[in-house]
Amino acid sequence: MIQTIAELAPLLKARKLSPVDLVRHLLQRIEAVNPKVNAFITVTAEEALTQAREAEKEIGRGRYRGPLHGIPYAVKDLLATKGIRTSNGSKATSQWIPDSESTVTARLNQAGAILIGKLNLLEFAMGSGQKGLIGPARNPWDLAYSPSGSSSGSGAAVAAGMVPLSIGSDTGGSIRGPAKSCGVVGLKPTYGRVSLFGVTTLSWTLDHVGPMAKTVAGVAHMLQAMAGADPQDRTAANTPVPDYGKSLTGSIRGMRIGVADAYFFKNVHPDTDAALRAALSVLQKLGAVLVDIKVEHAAMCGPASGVILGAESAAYHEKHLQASAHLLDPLVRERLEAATFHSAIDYIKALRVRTVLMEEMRRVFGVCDVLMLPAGNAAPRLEEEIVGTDAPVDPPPAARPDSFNLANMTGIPALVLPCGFTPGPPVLPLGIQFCGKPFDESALFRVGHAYQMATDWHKRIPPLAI
Amino acid sequence: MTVSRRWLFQSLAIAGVAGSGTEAPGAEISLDALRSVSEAHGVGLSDDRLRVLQPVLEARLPQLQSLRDFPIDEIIAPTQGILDK
Repeated sequence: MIQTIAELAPLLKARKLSPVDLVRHLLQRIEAVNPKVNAFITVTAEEALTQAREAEKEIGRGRYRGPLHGIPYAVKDLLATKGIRTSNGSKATSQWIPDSESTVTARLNQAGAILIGKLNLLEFAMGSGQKGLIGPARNPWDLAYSPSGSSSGSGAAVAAGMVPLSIGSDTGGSIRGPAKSCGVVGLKPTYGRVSLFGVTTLSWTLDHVGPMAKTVAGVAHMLQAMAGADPQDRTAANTPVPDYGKSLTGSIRGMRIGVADAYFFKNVHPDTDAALRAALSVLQKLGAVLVDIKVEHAAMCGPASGVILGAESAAYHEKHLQASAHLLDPLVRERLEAATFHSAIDYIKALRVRTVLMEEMRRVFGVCDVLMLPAGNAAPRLEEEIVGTDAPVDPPPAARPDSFNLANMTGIPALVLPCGFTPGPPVLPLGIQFCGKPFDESALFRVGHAYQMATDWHKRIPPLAI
Repeated sequence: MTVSRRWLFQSLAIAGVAGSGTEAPGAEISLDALRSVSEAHGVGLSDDRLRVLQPVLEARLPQLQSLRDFPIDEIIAPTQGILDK
């Protein structure tokens, strides 16, 4: 059973489905499927059942909180959960039990959602996945393939039907890559839209936390609960949060969709390219207008974001490097050690490049409402997975990571959703990415929802999940 | 080893500590070079740690150089990721 918020919420509200039964069903599913997929680090069965009983009572008393009430979710194991182990996927912090709650989980809990577990990830959101705490998560569409990272468990758990909603974090595509590889929807919100309080830092100025689900509507409902200012995080913006439900109209007539120039398509596989072109054709038939877009300095995204990420992560992890370097995934250690050598001048140059890119994106969104970018090619085999620019072997051809980095560098929101499958074998999901103006997640939901209403890619279920 | 001024500047440039104005013709990233940089930084990294980062720094040099070579107007100030709100 894989169900969406649109299917589950009315049943829960009408008391035709018990939250307790739903949690029990998912716990059974996790027990059966997780040994193959390795998506969960911790399953919070007892806590989830307790919350489900409480939700059942509340709904029974007529105190229905909204569309997330009684619906289970799971989070990448770098969001602090009070009293529940938060490992960051690392042996160095494997026994950390936070004494405070991340704002994201606190808000989802407040909306009535039920935490059912903590999800696998690449160590500290930057490791190889091979030598982290419990080994790599696997792609439910083909267990020999990677779900991509670093929110690997967040993508795999939703795709495998172990949980309807999940949370990931994204510093250079770590929500969007797994969404693409697992055939689910993932949103990197605008920088400042969602509080980062209680989310273990990788890079203060590139980190984002966001929702993942089977549908755009599911992601929109989650963002509704998560978004907004937070006195505990000064980067969380005091910008009004609109009613995202109003963007789920299915209408995109007259919407201007920018199509990025050839630079972003240089390493795109023909299967991916065909799927993207077909998706654009669907959107045109729905009334969208396509506009050619050139991002002049896109090639600087990689070098600049690499320096920013490296310098900030090395600063954050300084104590881990000194005290527990031997416990780190060798890739994590390599990256952190190397980043200690970045100069302040290079870091500031990278931040100035960010200014240039942000100005360019302002110009781009003067002529289009959303910008379509590739979301990478189909998932790599686990052993071939690109483990970063420092991979010891030549990586397989891949779409340019700049198509992800651009949104992290400029803070704009970006949504990835399924748009096809490889011909196979193996049959693996393909994804399309839309970026929007700062704080205009509504436009992304509008185009994404309209696309999902016109297609059925998101309804396909991996053989493992049937 | 004796660390000459030229040797130190070469090492700093290779490891990304100095700017693009520093000349380092034909220089390579060696353990000795990194050790010099490490000492110049006052961090005194062990050979074990230096061996870890040597190949990583080598792989990153082209990207770092492209960032340094990118022409940018002096009027452009850094942005730390906080958008107009």
